[in-house]
Amino acid sequence: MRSTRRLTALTATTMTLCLLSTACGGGGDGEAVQKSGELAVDGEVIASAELMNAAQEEKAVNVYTSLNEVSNDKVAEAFEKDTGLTVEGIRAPTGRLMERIQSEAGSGALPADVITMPDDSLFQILVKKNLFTKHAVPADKAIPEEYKSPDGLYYALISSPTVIAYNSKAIPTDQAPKAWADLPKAGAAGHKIGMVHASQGAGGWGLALFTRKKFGKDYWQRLAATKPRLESSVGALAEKLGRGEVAVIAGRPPEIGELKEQGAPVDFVWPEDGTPMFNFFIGRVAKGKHPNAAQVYLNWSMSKRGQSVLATEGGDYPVHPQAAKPRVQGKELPAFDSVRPALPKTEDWLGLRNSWIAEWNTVFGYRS
Amino acid sequence: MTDNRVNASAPAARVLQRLPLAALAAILVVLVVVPMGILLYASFVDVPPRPGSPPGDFTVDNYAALLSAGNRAAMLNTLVIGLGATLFALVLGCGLAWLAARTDVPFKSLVQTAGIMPLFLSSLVGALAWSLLGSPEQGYLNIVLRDLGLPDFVNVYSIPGLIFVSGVYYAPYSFLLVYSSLSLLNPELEEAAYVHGARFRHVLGGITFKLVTPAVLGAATLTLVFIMENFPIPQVLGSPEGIHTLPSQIYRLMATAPSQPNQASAAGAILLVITAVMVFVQRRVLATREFVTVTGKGFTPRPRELGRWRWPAFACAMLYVLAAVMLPLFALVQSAFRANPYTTGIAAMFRPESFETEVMAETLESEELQQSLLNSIAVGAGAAFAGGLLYLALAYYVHRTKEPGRRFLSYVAMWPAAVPALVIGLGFLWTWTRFPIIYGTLAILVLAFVGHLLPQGFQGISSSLIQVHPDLEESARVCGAGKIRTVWEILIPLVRTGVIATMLLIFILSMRELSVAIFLFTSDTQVLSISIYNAWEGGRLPPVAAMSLVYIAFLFVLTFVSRRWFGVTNRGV
Repeated sequence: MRSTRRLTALTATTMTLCLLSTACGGGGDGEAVQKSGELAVDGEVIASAELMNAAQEEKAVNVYTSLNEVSNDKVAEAFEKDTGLTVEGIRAPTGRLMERIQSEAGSGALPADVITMPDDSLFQILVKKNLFTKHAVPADKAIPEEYKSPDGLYYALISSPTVIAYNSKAIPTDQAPKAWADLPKAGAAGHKIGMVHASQGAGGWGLALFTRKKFGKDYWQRLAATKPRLESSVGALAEKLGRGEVAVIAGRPPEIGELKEQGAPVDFVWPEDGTPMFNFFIGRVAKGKHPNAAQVYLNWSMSKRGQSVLATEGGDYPVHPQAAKPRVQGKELPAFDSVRPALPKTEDWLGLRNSWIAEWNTVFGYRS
Repeated sequence: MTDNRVNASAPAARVLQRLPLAALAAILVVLVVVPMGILLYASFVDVPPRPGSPPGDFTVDNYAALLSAGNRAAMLNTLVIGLGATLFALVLGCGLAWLAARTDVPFKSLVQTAGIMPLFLSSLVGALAWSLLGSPEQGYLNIVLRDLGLPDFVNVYSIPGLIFVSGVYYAPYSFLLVYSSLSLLNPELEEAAYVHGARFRHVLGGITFKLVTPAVLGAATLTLVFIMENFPIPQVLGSPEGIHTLPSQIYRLMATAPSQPNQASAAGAILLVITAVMVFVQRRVLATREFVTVTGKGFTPRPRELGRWRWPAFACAMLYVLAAVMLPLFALVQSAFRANPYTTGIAAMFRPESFETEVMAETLESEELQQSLLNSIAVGAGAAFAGGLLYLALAYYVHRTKEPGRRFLSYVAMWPAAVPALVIGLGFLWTWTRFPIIYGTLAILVLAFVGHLLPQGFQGISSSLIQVHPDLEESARVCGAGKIRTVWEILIPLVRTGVIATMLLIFILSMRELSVAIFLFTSDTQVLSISIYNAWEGGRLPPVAAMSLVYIAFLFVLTFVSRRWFGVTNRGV
């Protein structure tokens, strides 16, 4: 009996602690909120005093995102510091996030105010369900047209590059591939190649689309013949590169930069035959519970300030032309146009997706 | 007059009599039947059964897709790995249980602890740690072998590797179920056999393990189902080399965008059929014999003397600890405290300048870790208590009453074992989004875990109940004790070890559970396993390892303290 009481007391204490810890939080004074009440950074007005006041009454914004964890945490931290609003929500890989959005929206219980995901095709599915509402951010005029949806329902948030990375202990630097065309040769020479499945997300499909368009189906077959290691996330792949478990991967600069800083013998090259890019998108949910905070979040994300945070902390290319250059571990990345960016055509991205991924799965022995 | 009173109260009595069945059935419908029904429905239509979706058209295409070459290979791998690892886990679990419960092995409490030690590591953490230890190129074991001039042959990215890792981390299930039975076993039959000249191996195989057949068969069934249903191990160690199982295929179907829940549901339904067959076979085997081993008679257990095999037996137990706990811990410590993820050789592993404490310090201080640990504790405690009560009530109804519906309830209780946890999470997502009071809170996680862990809980408590002969309770009833008093004062003390071991297991399993929560958490209800998985997916191994070490330390303390608290000490001889 005594032990039962003890355990009951422990559970009650634990539950109370949990409730207390989850009840904390809420809005506060943001550093970028001016005396006038406007939200402004370096002269750029991000939200009017009226909007900011209404957002502060809502205290929080609920964001559903599939941005990588490090970038997402940095962005949320900077936003909370600037605005005093709290960022809540879910960060999950695109597939899982999409399932939740559709299920919750179907029952009219979607808590999200803002959605951030890569992949045009998914945004189109949500647009058809009338999930988003139009919103023109203050920086709208500065954003190039190709980064805006024609219906005004969402923006491209960032462009994310896929590069060739290698471990110099597993493959000598002079033998490391400098172009995608060299990848099958490196694999055939016995160096283990690593990549993300084509069906896994925007990065995997973007690379598959790029290589097939550029080199034809034969390229996939030559690469598959080297039995590459196929991972479900680019993060897991980078971790294996750092340990030398694989020699060469199709990766992202931020993860490689972090490994390099830790002392791992890794580096990356901007491929000579083009850098596949894919966009992340951002849209405001029409029936969100925090409509004003959502507008502030969207305004901030697309502002010079928000875009600079995304670029310098996340290592992705901003879509705002005046934002800071992307940085990886303190080092500035080359200008967007100089890395031979290859952004896919929307009709290819949407139209070829199902049939080519099915083919890719067959070629790489990854059938469903 | 008297007859009339009896007749008038008869319908009311009948209603009261049916009340327990109605209550249990209602709970099972909510926790099991509805999510399962959605799964089966989804497998036969062409539209996911999300709230607000159209009903969809009937189709068998989802099942036809499972017959493709890739899926056939995945099904075969699931069976091969499942059977191989179950056999391995049974040998390990039963062996340790027998040593700890029935022999004079040295440091018995250490051997007993060895049996449950791997529970401190979730299969995700175990798989991650073994991917560091046994990856073919730069696994720590291969680095050591190369430095010693030996061939670097270790490769856990293979079917034998998957069998090994799965077997090691599922052995505690066999241990817990079999140990409890062995410790309650009256040794009279064994002693009689020895008196009549039977040899040790004949007694062990012909009497000891035959008497605990319900527990061994229960352990075998559960272990096989859990291994076949496990997602993290094949995902971490199999998928990169193209070795898929049904759960890793299901994850791929769910994680790709857009996801294909209908096909995933069909794969879940196939696993359900396999389990239903196994449970049926298990019940047929058990139904033919009687396995009561605890009776009103007292007994003084005597340990089996191992003689010169005492120390080799102890060494085997410690070898298991080395493979299941010590080596993975070494790998995690290397990752959490090493600055550079690249290791050149043995010397680099131990060079003081290679180590740093920054990541560990950051992890310990992080709000995310503290919040998610508290969430995990709350969910674990909630699931253990709510689940413990439900499982005990269910097991009592099935094994101790003659009421109708017992067989049906016991079948339903086993169903969740067959459904991949990912699909159960989806079932709850599709069902509960309409109830915002529950959805998005810790309560939805508790409910989902209680439903998902029903087979473990039910089987664990049932094994103990089956072994206690009803004579003892009937004697109490004859002496005038009421039903509740009989249960509280006679039955509960007798099955306490089993009930508490089960509740502890549910607590630990809930704290480790990843797949069920993956579709149900929010930023406020994120549990520790999700934090670890997210960090792993992001490729941030040092924080993964640091969080895993905190996780392991917490589970270790929890299990150790709980054992003492409840007096769950060595019941064996």
